[in-house]
Amino acid sequence: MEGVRKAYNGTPVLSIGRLEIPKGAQWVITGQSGSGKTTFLNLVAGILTPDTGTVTVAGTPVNLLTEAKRDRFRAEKIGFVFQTFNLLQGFTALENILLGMLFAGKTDRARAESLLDRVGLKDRVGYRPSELSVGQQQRVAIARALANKPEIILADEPTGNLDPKTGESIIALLKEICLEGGETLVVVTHQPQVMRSFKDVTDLSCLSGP
Amino acid sequence: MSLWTIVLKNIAQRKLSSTLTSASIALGVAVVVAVLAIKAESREGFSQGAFGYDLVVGAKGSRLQLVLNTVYHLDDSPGNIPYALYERLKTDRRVRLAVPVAVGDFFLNHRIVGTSDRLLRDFEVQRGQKFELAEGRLFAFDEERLRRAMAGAEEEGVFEAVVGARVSGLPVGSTFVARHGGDFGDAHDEKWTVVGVLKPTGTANDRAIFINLESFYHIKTHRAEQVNLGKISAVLLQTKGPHAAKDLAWEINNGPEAMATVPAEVVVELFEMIGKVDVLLLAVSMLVILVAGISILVSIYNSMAERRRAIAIMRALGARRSTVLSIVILEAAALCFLGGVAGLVLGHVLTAVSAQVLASRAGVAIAAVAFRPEELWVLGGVVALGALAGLVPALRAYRTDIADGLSPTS
Repeated sequence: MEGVRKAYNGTPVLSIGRLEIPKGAQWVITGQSGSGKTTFLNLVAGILTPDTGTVTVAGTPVNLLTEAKRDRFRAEKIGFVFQTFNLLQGFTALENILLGMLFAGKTDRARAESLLDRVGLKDRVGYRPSELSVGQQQRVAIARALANKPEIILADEPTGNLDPKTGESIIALLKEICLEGGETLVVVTHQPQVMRSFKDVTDLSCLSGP
Repeated sequence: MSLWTIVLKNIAQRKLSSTLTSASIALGVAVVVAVLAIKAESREGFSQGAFGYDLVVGAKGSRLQLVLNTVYHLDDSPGNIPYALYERLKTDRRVRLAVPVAVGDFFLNHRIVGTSDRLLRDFEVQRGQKFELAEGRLFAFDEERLRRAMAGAEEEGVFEAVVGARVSGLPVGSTFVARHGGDFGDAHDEKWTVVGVLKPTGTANDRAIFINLESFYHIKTHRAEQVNLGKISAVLLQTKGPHAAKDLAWEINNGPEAMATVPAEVVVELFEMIGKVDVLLLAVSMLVILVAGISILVSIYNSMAERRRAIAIMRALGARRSTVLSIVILEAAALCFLGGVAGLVLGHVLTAVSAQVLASRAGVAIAAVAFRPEELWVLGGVVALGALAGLVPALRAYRTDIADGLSPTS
């Protein structure tokens, strides 16, 4: 990101002079409440566009793409893990992963099943989110995020709704999988125990731009 | 996994409202299908039933009543005409076949028709098809005995009958008693013997019982009261061409004794009258479908608030605005399709039930399961209505802001 500014109704919410996260890195973004952490992730994912500046992801200037191209880019290149999991309730664990693949234009049932196996939920293929524990739901969300072999995984407070032990296992799983696959991992968190497990941490409030 | 999977799951998640809205669509479609089928088939059936009757001659009065009574064995006879008129018409150069009929008695709800054997022997009841016996023989008919009976002569009568294919409970060799005027009328003392059963003709004649005409005048109560002596209810004519029929009809209608009418023309007039009722029924059923479409719109629109997050999730996963729009429109169209298909089936069931009633009351056969091409148009129209109804809530989905939709408070 370079020279990025974003405001809502005239109120600045994010200002980044320059931030570069290398490919394959595992990075934490932190900051006080209201410092624009979620806005940051939304800019990277192309959900939002900055008022000024450029956002380049895997060599693509995301903010310059049309909305439809940003949607496609997000489907193919970005994997999202949310604090509240955001699984679709009417769909099974397997179907939630297939849904992630659908919008990238390809569904691969075998890959979806292997991803569930990778996150330790091989025997939960047909379970709906309401039938899974919170930790299991977040694992399904991680599998969904990996469905299309993205360039980057964005995790927005992935342990926010989990107990410390479960949260620790989720962070460990994310780091392990991304290290194996070479995906860049960006975790937004304000939890000290999560920050401690990462080498690279950036506080957004220290990145004010011009 | 496809968009259709998402659509069907959305429908399944709201089972009750999906079922109710589809059911209301089904109801409207069923009425449309039934009205279209019954109208077309009954018109065909009534028209076919009128085949072979170039002219019907009866007492002056309502043409519709005469045709309904004589051709379809419904309604009361409008009155009597002299037997002498039949004898004149029989020898008229313009007439190919003349058949006298006398009505007024019933067995259960089957009309008893006194006639000559020429009706069952020579009359073409369908194109290229005459009456055929399934069993037994025709009744014995003697024109000389008829003349003597009409003149009031006292002699032993011959009481024989041939029954139509849909008259149940009267096999060959059985006997029955006739009642005057209807099922609850006074019973005559005489008993008729069934000597033959006809094959089905697909007309109202399948429900009738044909007796030798002279037996009508041998009924003791008729003789005692001198009822209808020298008179008959009607004459059925097959003429030597349409010009002959027109010519003859003009002559009879301008005379004092009787009126002549072409049954096919009366059927057309009848259906023009009924047509107004059909239009009303169709309008009502279209209204039902429209209201159902609106209820689909309201139902899906109201569900958009609770689906905002799900839509935002799909958008976050990379679904385009047009994709979420399509999902909502497809959902509404699918509900209408399901209701439409159910309505087509229900419509044919309704038609089948009506067919039974029409067959038993009017002897008109309706093909209940015959698929009509216009039903495809009805289904297509209903699906299009559904897509249109889905457009308003779809636009709401289209405009969903991802960031707002994903926020913890949404």
